[in-house]
Amino acid sequence: MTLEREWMRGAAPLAVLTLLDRKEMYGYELVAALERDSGGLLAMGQSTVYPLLYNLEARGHVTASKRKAPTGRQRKYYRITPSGRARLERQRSQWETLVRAFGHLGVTPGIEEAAP
Amino acid sequence: MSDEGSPVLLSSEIEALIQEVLEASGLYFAEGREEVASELRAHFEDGLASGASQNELIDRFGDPLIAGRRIARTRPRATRGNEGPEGRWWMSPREWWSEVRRAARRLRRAPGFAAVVVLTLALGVGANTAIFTVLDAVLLEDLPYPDPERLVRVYESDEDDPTSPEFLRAPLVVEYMSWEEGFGAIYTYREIGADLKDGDQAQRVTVMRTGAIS
Repeated sequence: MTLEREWMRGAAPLAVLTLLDRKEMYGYELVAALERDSGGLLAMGQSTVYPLLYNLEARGHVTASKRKAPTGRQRKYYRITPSGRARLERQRSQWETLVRAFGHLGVTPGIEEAAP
Repeated sequence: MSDEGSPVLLSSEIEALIQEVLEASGLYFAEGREEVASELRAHFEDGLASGASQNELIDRFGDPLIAGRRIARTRPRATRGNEGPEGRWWMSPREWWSEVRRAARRLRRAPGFAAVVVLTLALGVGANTAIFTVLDAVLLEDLPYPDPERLVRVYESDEDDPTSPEFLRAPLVVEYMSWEEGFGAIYTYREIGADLKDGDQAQRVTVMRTGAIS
């Protein structure tokens, strides 16, 4: 299954910030984690991850620094900032509200009970 | 899987794809073009190192044009205020050549603008050349005489008013030439009036009579 573009537009920043909230990552590591941890749903065109990262960086939600990866190669690591964490919390809260509301509406039966 | 830290050689197809992204992004060197290129190369290196095939990586990468356009919308804001990748103010010859080719491509895409640029440069160079030619002839170029650095202009002045120079009188010139350790040569000139005729038409003009006494 693939998400439509509009859904992806809203979901991708939240997913990226969630992963970076766990630990800092470099580009390919993030791309692989997105694909693996979303069960393939967020295996979006990998090229779009980089513009997304640059956008988050421009907005001050992530910072980047270069250092050696475990492979021994120099890589650009992205780390979430306090501003990014605040945005993540806001978006997470909105998603939860949306999912609950959809559960009530019957769009996603069973989700209401499962949601925290 | 490649060895730890060893460089991974990227194929020409992957390099072409990266170039497509960069072209579509429209980024300049100072906006982090090389930094983006380096990160995309790292992406493919890591992908190959993880065991993915080249075709698989290219396929999963997505549309380079879309990626480039999205980078164009975001990247300049991220690098605003930076002078170059990692704050560098200098370019390597490769980066410099890349910028020159890029500028040439952009000019080709905007022939009107290119014409204005070329015309402006041509006028500027032409005007500068003309001004320098005059300055060179009047101030810099040696006068057309042997040993021009020894050339002096000699005046005669009145004892009552030494600040106002007068032309030398002819007897004085002859006297100066008789000095044993005087002048090597003397060139004289005198401003006079003359009539310039062309058939029945005549016009009064000012001319210089010149002479040389060695």
